[in-house]
Amino acid sequence: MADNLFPDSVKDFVFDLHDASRRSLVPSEQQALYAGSFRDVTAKYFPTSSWPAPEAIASECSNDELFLALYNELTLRHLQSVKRPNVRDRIDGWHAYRKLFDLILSEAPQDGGEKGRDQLYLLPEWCFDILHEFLYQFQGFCQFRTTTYSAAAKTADDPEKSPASHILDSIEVLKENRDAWAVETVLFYLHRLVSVGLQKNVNVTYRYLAYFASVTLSRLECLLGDYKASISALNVIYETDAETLAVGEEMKSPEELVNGVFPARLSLAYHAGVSFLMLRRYKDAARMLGGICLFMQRGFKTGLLRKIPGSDQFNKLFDRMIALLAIVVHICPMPLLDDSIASVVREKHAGNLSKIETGEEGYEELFVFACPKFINPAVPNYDEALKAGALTMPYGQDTYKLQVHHFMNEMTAQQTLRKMRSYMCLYTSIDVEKLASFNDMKVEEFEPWLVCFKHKMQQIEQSNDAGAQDKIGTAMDIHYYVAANSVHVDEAEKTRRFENFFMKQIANNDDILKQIEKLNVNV
Amino acid sequence: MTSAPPTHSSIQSLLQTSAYDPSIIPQLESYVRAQLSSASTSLSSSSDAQYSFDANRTLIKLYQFFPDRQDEGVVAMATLLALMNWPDVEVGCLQCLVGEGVMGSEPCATLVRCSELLESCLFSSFWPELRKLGIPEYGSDPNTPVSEDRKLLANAVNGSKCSNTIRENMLRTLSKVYKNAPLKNVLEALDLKDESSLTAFASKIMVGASNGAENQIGIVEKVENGYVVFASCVENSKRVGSEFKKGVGYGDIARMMQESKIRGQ
Repeated sequence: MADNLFPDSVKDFVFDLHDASRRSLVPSEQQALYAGSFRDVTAKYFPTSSWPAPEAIASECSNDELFLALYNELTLRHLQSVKRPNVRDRIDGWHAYRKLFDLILSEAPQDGGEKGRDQLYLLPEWCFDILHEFLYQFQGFCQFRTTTYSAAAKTADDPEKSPASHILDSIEVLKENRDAWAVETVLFYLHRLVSVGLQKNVNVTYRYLAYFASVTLSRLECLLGDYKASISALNVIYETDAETLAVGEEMKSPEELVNGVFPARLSLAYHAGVSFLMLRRYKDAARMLGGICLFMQRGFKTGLLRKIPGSDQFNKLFDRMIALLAIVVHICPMPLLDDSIASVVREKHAGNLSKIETGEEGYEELFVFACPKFINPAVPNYDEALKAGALTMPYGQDTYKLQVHHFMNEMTAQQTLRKMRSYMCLYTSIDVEKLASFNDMKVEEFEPWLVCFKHKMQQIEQSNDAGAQDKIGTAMDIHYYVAANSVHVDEAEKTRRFENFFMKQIANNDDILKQIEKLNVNV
Repeated sequence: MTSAPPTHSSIQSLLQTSAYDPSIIPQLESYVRAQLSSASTSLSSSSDAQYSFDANRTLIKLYQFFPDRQDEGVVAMATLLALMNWPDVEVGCLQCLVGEGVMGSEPCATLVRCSELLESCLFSSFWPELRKLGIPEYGSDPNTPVSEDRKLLANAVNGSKCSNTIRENMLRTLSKVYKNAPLKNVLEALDLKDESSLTAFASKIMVGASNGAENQIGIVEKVENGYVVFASCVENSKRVGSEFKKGVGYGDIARMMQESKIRGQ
């Protein structure tokens, strides 16, 4: 598009955004442009098409390379949201992100030096959106190359069939760009952003990038099936002695920074919840998922969440997290959730839970619905796809199937353990032999289950005290031990305590009052 | 001339700087072998080759990223090291990263079976399975020479450190369930011959971490009348009195009042 064909509002937007991010560095100005003007101009002039190419608007931002890379990412993000990307679009996306991160890192201050200190400001939302989209495109690319490979492999066996031309074209482009979206490079950038942003005396934008890169890293590790790494990636956010950082007019902790950007908070909670579940840390999973679901339930009622871009996805993720909570509370009968969320879980998944109670399979259905789209990170050998007898998955790797299989392995014992628990709850002491007969087993067969129950329910839990180390706890709601061939059972305290209910309602009321105080009611 | 295996500190440094660079695969593989060699001796492991799940997991992930670099023998060694750390969930964590093709073939398939038996607490069935791994030729193609890695795995399995570590973890698990357990059952679970072997073994295992302190209590209190009596702990004893659970702490109330007060100003 020639310079004189641009609407003035496009030129103004580019000029003003450049000014806000590279010169004036005023958060409120950038907020109005990024969250407001960009959406308005897009809706008016480019609802289903691309913004002008960076080269076409370069003069409006003094040919600033870093800003042009930011602009390119922003506009590509819009384009990919309205038009399904083909293989070349995906490769272009990779080059755009590489260039952007290389430029951001090249301007980063080195080890407390002055370089780059006041040359860049990006809103927290903008920082998160860049990283979130980066990983979303990586995830999409991994899925794309796996399905392309599988489509080619399926027709390879039949000499009368050949893969469709678009499949062959895609395979050729993928072969020419084997390094595109390489997982080790994606990890490199995320780790580098974290380490650069956590240096002393660094520009606040780099700190934003560091913490949101941690959230993104946690998500990536979860999608790879490395749940311990997923949880460890979040340590920098929850460090008790982390310095606060300026967010607009306020000073916030890293956790408050992340919670202030709702999509980041949601992504963190969901992937951490999945990771805790797969690590058999059921209480931590319930705490993480229950907390975010409660917040969202309130947000849906007040309409607060509808105002956030991308809110159409929130309902889906809410439903998935409720399904995960159904699994967790079924394994751990102790009261872990707020009453309102517990009732949502019961309403939505009563059917599945009663199936599990009767011995039918229900856990897998819940998990398959709720789990993320795990990714196969390895670059396929595309020539193999075109040979007869090729495996339909590259290298026979299927990360998704592996996670489902591992989850179901964990769940196979749960039915027997639930039955045991239900009988144990009826007694304060009972002979091992009698308990075995209730469970339709001989004593020799039953005794290992007594040990297995305690073992399976033993878990690591985050300590309630800030800064304290994780501790070993139990997800059981009963306590038992075996002495002289008898099982002695102490049940969990059943007395309903009311102080927690009142404290919770006071805190909820407090949150609502805070939100009301922030409303601008000037007429 | 073989080069010295990397040290624990050099590996930690590599993980900080180059965790996903495929060029570090040989060093990580070498470190897995060093950890297993250390586990093959009855000497306490030197700090140079101390167990590092992070290092082993990083290697397994590099195999996930670069499947043509995958070494099944090394995967098996890393899995055995994780098995020795049971009841931690490390074997499960590795299983989420390794394809079913590798985990389904020997020796990994037997290692997975061992892990399943530990998870199900079928301790007496565990030992015959583990012993299979002590035979280097087990599960391998008779026409293929046994690799050095497979021999290293077999040596580690046959070494006392591997068995004793797993035995100790089993004993600790049993002590959390039983106040007293039939001696016969405990001997079968730990694959020990008789009472004197059990007494000799258990005398070195203390409640909590063994740190050589004078007032540490042995995990097995005594063996009497055909029963193993475990030292009392929270897990294997009745809860004393009614457990008064503090509903809400003073700090929570103080914080709530402070926040309300600030808003009221």
